[in-house]
Amino acid sequence: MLNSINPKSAIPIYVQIMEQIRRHVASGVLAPGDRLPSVRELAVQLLINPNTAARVYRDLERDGLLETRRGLGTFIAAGAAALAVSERRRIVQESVERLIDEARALGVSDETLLEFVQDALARQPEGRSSR
Amino acid sequence: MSKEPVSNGFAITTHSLTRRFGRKLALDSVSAHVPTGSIYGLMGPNGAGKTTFVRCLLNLLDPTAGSATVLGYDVVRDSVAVRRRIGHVAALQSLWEWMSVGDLADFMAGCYPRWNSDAVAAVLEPVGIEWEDKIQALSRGQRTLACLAVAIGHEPEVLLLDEALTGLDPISRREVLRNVIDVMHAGNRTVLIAGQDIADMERICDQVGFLVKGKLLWESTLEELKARVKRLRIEHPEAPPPEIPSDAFNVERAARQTEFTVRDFTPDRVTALAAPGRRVEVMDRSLEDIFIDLAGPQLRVAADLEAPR
Amino acid sequence: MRGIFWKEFRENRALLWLGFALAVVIINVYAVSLRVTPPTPAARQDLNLLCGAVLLGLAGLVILATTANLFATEKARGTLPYLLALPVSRPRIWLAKVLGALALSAASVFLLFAPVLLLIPGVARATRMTVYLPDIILWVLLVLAVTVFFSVLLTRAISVALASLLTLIALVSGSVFAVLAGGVTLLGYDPALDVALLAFPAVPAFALASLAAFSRGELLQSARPWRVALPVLVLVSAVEVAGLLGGARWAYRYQRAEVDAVHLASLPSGGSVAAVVIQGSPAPYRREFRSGWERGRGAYRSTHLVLVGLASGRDLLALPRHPGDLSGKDVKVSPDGRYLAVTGRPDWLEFRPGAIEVWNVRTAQRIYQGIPRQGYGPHSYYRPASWSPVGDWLAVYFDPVLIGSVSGFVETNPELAAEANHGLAIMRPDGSERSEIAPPRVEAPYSRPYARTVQFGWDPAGRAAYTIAPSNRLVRRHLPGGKAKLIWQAPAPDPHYEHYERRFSPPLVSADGRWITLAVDEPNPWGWVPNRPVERSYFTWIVAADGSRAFTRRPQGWENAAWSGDGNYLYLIAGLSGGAFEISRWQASNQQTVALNVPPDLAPSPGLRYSAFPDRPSLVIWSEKAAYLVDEQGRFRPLRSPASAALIHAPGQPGVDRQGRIIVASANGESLLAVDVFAGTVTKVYP
Repeated sequence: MLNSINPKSAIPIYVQIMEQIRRHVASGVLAPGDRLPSVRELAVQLLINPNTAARVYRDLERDGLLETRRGLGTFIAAGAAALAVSERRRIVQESVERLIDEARALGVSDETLLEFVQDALARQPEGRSSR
Repeated sequence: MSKEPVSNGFAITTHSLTRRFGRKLALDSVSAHVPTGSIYGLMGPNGAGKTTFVRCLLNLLDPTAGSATVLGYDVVRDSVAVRRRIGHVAALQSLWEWMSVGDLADFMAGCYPRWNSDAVAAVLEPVGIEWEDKIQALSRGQRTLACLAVAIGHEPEVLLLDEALTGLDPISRREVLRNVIDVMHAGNRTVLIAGQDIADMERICDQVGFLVKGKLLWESTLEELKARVKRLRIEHPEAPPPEIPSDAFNVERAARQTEFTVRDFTPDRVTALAAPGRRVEVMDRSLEDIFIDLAGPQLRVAADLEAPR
Repeated sequence: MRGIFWKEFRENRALLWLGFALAVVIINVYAVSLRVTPPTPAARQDLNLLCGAVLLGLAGLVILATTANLFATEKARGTLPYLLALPVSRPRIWLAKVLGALALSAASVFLLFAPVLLLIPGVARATRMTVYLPDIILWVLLVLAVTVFFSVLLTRAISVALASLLTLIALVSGSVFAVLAGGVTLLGYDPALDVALLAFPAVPAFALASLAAFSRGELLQSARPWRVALPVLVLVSAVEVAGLLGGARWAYRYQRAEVDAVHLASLPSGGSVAAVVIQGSPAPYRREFRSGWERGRGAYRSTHLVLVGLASGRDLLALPRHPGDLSGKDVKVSPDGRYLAVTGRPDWLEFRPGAIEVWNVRTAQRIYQGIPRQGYGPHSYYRPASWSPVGDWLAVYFDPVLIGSVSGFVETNPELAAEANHGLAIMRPDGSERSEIAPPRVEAPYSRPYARTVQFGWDPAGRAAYTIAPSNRLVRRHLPGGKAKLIWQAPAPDPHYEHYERRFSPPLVSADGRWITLAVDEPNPWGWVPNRPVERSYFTWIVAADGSRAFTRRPQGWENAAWSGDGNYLYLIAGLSGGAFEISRWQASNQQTVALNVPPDLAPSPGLRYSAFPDRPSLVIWSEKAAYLVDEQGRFRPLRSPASAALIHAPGQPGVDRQGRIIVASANGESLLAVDVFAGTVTKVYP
């Protein structure tokens, strides 16, 4: 389920995994109470250092996204749903910032950018994504 | 024998380790630090000195100068104590062909104070290697796994893999990595992988060291490596070409763009290079790219550099 | 460490059978060789020797094969790093491997020797090989150490080649050493053991050198191994060669003269010669360590005979030193010092008594060697008896009868048996003109034990010999080939014993040839009990050479008599109860007997020894306590040290040289001393 990481990327692997998990939680693929693979299983699956996997789970637990129940495993925390919303927002915000960076880098003015956004929003009815 | 190792959080430390063969300098004042609990990838081209390094740690060779400690024990003075705590897999290593896998395991078991047969079996079983199989009859991948199996039998705190993944079929490679992960998972273990298997090392290593022509050119976490080694592409269709910084290498110049790799990237450099009419792009480098940068044809440039730490 | 030991053993298991296979081959080859060699003991012995040497060589080969694998193959196959990566210190790795190889080679060598010696009784019995265990163990260790040394440092092929070369050199040098030392040994046992002794330091040297080389970290890349190998090799070889040569030289020079017997003769030129038998080994001969080589050859205790000119101290003749060729017995020097007669060594395996050899002293050539026939047969000369006083005839005993065939009395009367049944003959020094004087008497078994002995004496002019013929008759024969003339017949004291065959001492003739003295035994006159040994007493008779007169003293006779050197006096000695002696002197001119005052400290003593001087009336007489010179007046004059000490402590019988010095062996038997009783000095004349 937790699949492709891109080892070649400069983004650290643990960041990539965390991102993926957040994304899944945000999009609802992972619901509170779902059991995640153990550290070992995750490491074997992705062929990564188990310490890295442990770090992912540790950080996510600190952020409140996961909870570990002794002897049972790691699960999506109950309060994750609440975080989902802010998570979604964060994701979109990051995308927006990236978009702005790119536009500026290519010399597209802010006004032009806004036009593009509005045009795109007009073209795509709400609720449906183009992909 | 000196007692009570002081490890400072590093499982393996070398202090200006030097090894000379006649006139050839195989290791040139290598000061490496392998943190406990990490998987350290020692990378370098052929003949860089990786195997020499591993052999020095095992005291198969005496250092010409400098010293090394493993788990706090000096590798020369307390070499037996060191070897008791180290597992070693050298896949290019010859074995006694007449032995069976069981013979080899029994032989090794007799040399160590602790032996965990179940752990050995756990490595062999999934790939279908039987105790009675003669080493002679094993394939390359099976041999490596057999070596790995008996190497972890005594539950070593440090595992050294020397070219263990080179030339293996995908299944065996995955099995080796899986077993490494299992070893790490047992806790408080350290693994040093020496070789050129970039793809696998990029996944599994969290520390890297670059050994080129006997010198340790770089040593850091993988994160930091990727964060600091970036390739800058400057497009200057109208503006004049930028100055190449002194520490840049792998430089490519074209009419309207210049590319070079820097070793200590910070965002300031982008601003420093920014100018009207120029567009600066920062490209991430994969481990393979960095490997070629550091150890590739521009060796003369790399040779002038010193290790950053 | 145990794991390494067993790995070593198991890895080369197949070589165990090498030893066994070689043993089978050897047995078959030996069986075939047995058929092919002539069935003489000498040839058999040589075959056994060869077989033993081959076995030893094969043992070396087996060990080479097992130990060459040790380190060089690990290096060649590339498994050495694996071994060195084990948590075992290098010295222990080295030790475990060496012990494994040692166990394997010992087992293999055992399998080589065991079938030959134990499992196949016929071959074992036939070979009669004695396996000297320390030799083999040392051999194993030496080959092991050498091979391990080279195996650590060099490649397999070279290590095998070098180790083979070294062991070959060791084998050859052992033989060379034995030859150089001429059969003399350092330890007195066995030249092979001497070689082992010298080779022994090489074992720890090579072992330690290989251990040191292994413990250093330079084995993975063979960084100039010759720099280590060559100096050690040169050093050890130099030490060994020096030791070998030094040992051989020492053994050679350490020739202790063991003066076994002194045989004197005077030279016409005025000097005297002494024949001295020299035993050549530095240590006393140990009978219990006889090896096969020694049997039949007389081996490591080389015996040779030296004729010494006493005036000059020079060796006039040294008979060749073939171990065992000379028994050193019955050395008779002709009175003029021109010839030396000696008995060769008997070969009891062949039932062959030794042959007589006569040597010309001046030319150092052997001019006669009697080849005795085997078993029965006439004319088997084997022991020189004595030379005539002028040296032109040699009397020899010959004995066609095997002593052992006469049961019973040989054991009880060995000294008699040596002379019983002999025949007596005379011959020229070169063996020509042999004629019998007294034929041998072959006694039927179970006859009376005291057979007739052939006693004889020479007339001083050398023209006649006096012998005892049957029926107690003293006869004179003119030489050569003269008829026997009766001089005198010993009377029977009792009619019962008229035909009783009695024992006689050799007749002693005075210097002027006019008187003969001999002792005759007489049975106890107080009765003869059937089946009881008869008690005897000796009575010395003085008989005129023409047979006109004969004297003796009764009821107590004189037991011993000694002529003075000028022939005028005869000293007569009788033992008294309580160990005292009674000494009288009989004068030839007036046939008067005078009793002498014997000093009391001459007795008690088991026996007296005496020595007469040429052309003088004096006699020197000594016991174990005191020595005296009896002068012309018959007075006993005590001798002082060192002369008396030399005489008292001298072993064996003395002789007198031309200058009137008494020649005796020194107390420790290592030198010859000349005692001048008149001057009171003792001089060492040999060596």
